Amino acid sequence: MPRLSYELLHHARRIDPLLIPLLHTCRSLPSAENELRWLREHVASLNTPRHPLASNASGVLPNAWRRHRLERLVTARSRGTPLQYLLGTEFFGDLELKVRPGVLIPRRETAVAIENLASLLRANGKVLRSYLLEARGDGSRLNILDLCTGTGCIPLLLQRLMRHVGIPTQILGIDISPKAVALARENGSHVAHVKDICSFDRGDIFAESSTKSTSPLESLLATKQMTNIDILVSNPPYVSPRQYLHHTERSVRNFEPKLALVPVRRSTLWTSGDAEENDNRHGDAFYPRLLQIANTIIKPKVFWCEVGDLAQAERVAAMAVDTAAWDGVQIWADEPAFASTVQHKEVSGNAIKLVGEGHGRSVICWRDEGRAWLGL
Amino acid sequence: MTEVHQPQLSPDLVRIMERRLSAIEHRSASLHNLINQPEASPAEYARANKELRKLSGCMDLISHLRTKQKEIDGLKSLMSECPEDKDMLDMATEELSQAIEEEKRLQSLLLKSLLPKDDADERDSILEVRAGTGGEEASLFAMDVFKMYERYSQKRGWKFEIVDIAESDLRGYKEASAAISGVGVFGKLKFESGVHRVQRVPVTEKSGRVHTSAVSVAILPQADEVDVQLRNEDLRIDTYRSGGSGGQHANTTNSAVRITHIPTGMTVAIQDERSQHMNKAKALKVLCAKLYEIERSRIQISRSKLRSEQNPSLEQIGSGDRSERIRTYNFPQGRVTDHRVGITHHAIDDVMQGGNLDVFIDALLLQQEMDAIASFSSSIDTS
Ligand SMILES: C[S@@+](CC[C@H](N)C(=O)[O-])C[C@H]1O[C@@H](n2cnc3c(N)ncnc32)[C@H](O)[C@@H]1O
Repeated sequence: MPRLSYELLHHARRIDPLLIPLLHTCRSLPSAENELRWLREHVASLNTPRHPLASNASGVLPNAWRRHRLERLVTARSRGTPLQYLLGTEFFGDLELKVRPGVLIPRRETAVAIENLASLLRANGKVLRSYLLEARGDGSRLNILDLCTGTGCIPLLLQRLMRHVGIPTQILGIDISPKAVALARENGSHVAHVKDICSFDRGDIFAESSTKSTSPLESLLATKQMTNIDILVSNPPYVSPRQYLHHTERSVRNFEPKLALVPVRRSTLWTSGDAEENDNRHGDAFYPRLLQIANTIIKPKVFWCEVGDLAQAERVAAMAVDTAAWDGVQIWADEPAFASTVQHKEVSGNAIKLVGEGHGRSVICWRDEGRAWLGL
Repeated sequence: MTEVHQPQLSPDLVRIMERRLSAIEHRSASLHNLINQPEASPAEYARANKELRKLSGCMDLISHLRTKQKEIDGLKSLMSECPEDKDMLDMATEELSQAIEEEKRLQSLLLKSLLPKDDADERDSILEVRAGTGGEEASLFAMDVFKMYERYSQKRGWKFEIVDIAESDLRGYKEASAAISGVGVFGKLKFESGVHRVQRVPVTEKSGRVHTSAVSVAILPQADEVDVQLRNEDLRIDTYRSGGSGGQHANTTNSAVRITHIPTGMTVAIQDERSQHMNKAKALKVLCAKLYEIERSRIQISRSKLRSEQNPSLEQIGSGDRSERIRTYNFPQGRVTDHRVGITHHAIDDVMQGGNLDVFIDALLLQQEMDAIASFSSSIDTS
């Protein structure tokens, strides 16, 4: 990390001494100033605890308490605690969701991709509505399943965006972490509309049933009356062990759950081959399983998943092409709405479109009806 | 302090207005006629109805005026018929003077409703304050001016929302903007655009010498995407991208949004909200206001060019020219002077508290009205 210049620190101290510790984490003055303001606003919005000595109306003690509180938050932030954990919320699209240590903080890039997905679906809302009416009758909903749901951010945003164009949805989010499921439920009860149906449950997507008849996932879907999944979405752990060590931010490594970032190694599938290849395979571990679920258990019309970079996107696109189960596969970059920038990538002998600007961010696959829903 | 008067209606002006009024009465009568005709087509009917509705406010006033005028005529003839009855004359004289007062009031109301209105007057506005020459001191004064408008807005019951503030070293404002909404915001504030000059001893100055510095103020009427015919293809919206590959690897709090309007190259960047969506919404608001202002001033220039060709003596105020020096705040002498109307107000603290800003604003509004009257009569005379 480059050292901060003496001039910058001096300048910052003149504005506010509390900026100095924040600069340690923020690295730039404008963002340190923003964070300090947000922390101040947060502290100002807190109710002061009742204190036996604060019975007089002088207000001196609440002020002292607030100052103390602010200093503690600034210290925590200077040590790298994510600001979102300190403030207790993060914005995802236009939703403000609760976040808390132990559950991954939703990322902007994810929200942008989900907004793009929703805007394609909305643009073809007519097709989607008449499909729902024909295939499942009056009053039916678009069923969306999110695997590895974390805060529940992805299905909650999709649900909200679809409701705005009059397409009712039923969403289900699944996560292995009890903390995540509890938080997602809180978020659901907080942001979902009364007419929305949303539920969150615990589950390991790798779980196999002991009896070999139906998988635990299948039984769960049956109890939720979600046997017809239209859209499957997932932002699974995708960081490889090496990337985790060398290419994640300190604050991510030290404060966010590793379970949400790095796939747990569960077999010796990749014992041969060179180290880099093994590392990649480790990072990719969730995708074959997601594709398998998509092809054997739920057969959605559209499958979207996030990835870490372009190389991973190409590997996942290749896996999808190789299953021969999809009628179309695309890679989306960070800003897929800049659709004027389209490149072609050679993947498993097919030309795959890379849409948008920025890093490779997600892979989207569809079956025939899905093509019409997305207008692709 | 200069007193503010109602504009006096000269006999010439009344004569001109009378011509307009009878034209309106005429039009209204023929529209009524048309509506009552059974063979009027639905389209004709609808059009006539719409026009009538537009005229109705004016027509109400006119009919009140006509009633008053009949009353005046009646009183006058009464007085000429019996010049000997003293009691009766006294009574009639008093009634006559009241009726004439009322006639004048109705005439000035009518005049106001006939004068051209700025469509933007009812709009909400974007306020931009920028420190000019004078370094830190200018930034501190920019903050004072910004807060002056904040208090003024509060007093009028308007909503004052900060859009973005860029602070200086001493926590003054290098640049600040706000969205002000409420009833008639732009109509009241539009004359505030221009350079505001301050003369005072800066807090940073140890020798006690008075400095002169300046801030520029711009008031832009708010507009939406429809007003400025904004198309998605014309916008490029850039957001902060973290270094590395982003996604799960990084966790940024930078929610800055920069919008570029490709056809004009204009950019607006906002970063002070935690939510990228809110930053984007704010940036769009500012962008729309700026584009709308460009369009408005383009129309205004061609309009005032036309007007000055017809009547070169008319000088336009409140043109919104940001480089025009409009006001001086002199702290040692405790006064504020507006250079356009030549008014000096001696309670500078009241002004800075947002209290007595109306002294200037009302005078400027009045001045604008007089200018409009002047061009109203000249345009009718030439037509
Ligand atoms: C990268 S986070 C994504 C969270 C959320 N979808 C988002 O976009 O912010 C991955 C999530 O997968 C969950 N997870 C990890 N292993 C899992 C498994 N085997 N089955 C189900 N969920 C798992 C983690 O608990 C974590 O919440």
